Amino acid sequence: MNVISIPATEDTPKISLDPENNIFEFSGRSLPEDVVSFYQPVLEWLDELEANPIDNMEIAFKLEYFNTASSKLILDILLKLNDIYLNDNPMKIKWYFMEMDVDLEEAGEEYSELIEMPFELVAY
Amino acid sequence: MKENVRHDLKYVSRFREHIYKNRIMLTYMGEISQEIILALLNMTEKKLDASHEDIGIKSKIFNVMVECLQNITYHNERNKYSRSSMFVISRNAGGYVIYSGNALQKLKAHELQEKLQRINDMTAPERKDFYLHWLQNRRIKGNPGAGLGLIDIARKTGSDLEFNFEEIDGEYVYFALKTVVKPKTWSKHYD
Amino acid sequence: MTDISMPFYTNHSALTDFFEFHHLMEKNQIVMTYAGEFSQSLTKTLLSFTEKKFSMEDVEDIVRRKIFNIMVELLQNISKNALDNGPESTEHSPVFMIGESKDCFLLISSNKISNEHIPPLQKRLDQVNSLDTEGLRQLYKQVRMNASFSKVGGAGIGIIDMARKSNHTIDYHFLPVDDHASMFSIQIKISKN
Repeated sequence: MNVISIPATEDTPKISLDPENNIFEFSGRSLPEDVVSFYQPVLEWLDELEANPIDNMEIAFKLEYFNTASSKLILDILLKLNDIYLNDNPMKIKWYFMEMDVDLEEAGEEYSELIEMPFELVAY
Repeated sequence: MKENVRHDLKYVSRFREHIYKNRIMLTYMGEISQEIILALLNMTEKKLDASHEDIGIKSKIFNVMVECLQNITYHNERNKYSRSSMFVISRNAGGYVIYSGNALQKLKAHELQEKLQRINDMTAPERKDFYLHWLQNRRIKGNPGAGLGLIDIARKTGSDLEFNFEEIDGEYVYFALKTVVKPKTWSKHYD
Repeated sequence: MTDISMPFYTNHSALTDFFEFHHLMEKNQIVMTYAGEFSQSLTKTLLSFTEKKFSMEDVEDIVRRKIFNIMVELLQNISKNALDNGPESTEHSPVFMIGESKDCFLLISSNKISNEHIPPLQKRLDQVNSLDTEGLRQLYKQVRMNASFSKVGGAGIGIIDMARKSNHTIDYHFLPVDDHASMFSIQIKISKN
């Protein structure tokens, strides 16, 4: 499995998908002009993951905010993970949000309604 | 290149009066690009942090700003009125008021108006359904965000969309949108 | 199908203020206004805005640099000397604006200052406005060598520097607000080429 290590920029999140160190994390802000190109490598990585699933993955989302275009891609990512989960591969999502950030909390709740795998909402 | 005529800068006083009256924090008029959007977000963030604004409000403001402004860049090719696009953020006792404005071709303006009215006619649960339905729609080509921005703004502010269309010439219409983000608790920062 | 025969919904009342301001900005060719607390960190943010704006247009390097330098000077002056420079909005909060016409950029600042600062400030402004390029260069050298930089806001080398970079008359205005203070507005013009 490849490692994806994309540093954060002003309009794109930090993405770490590192099987060796067991780190799977999306953090920061997501509002790129071209969401499809930005997230393409991630979707490809997930296709690879489907063929080589990792045990007991914990994927963390620590996003500050994201535009509606990103929300679609984030759902795509969650649905792909969900497919892998449904294929007998235990994993869970941890959705972080700052305590007062109702919108981010709600976004997490809405995503959790759309997928089956364990989805934990964590306030900090 | 020294000019003999000195200007009394009266216009600056007019600006200041208007800025104070409406508690305007930041305005921008010109072409909207991704770079400009990021710069406007930065400047707004500075202002919000200086007032120790809470993260919930800050988050809503950013979301509204990004959706308004990216709507301008996504849906419209540059036209002769692109330099008239405008963004204003102000705060008053009611909350933060965000305005965005841009010129659209007539047909697009009509489509947009229909959309806005449809959203305003929806109840909150209907808006949620609409949003989730659109979110899950795998068949949308092109920009995946197209179509979600306005409903997102309506949901996040919990209110109807306030807007205005003004014909500029036979071909173009100026569209302005007003969004209010209300703080949950009344704070002495707002007078 | 979209009904294009339907009239547009025009609800002016909700957005009157917006349209008024739109008109004001268009008429005066103003591109950006910022009102509020000015600080070193805000200076950086505003510079970054200007940089991003320039990235959309073909602005010559030399013009870019002039604008940045003048902006820093203006903004630091506000940070150091402006009264009412706090997070709360007042009638006299500092304001910074950028204007753009076909041929030039305008940098405008307006802030409240103590009346005692006015005489040396005005003297310096009138002085630089009366000098040509060579005269300004001499003045700059002279003031530089004379190590006693005035502590009074803006009457030191900064104004001379701005005048040299701008190469236009510096427009300014003092508007008394009470017995002790006035609003000081200044407009600096930089040609695009």
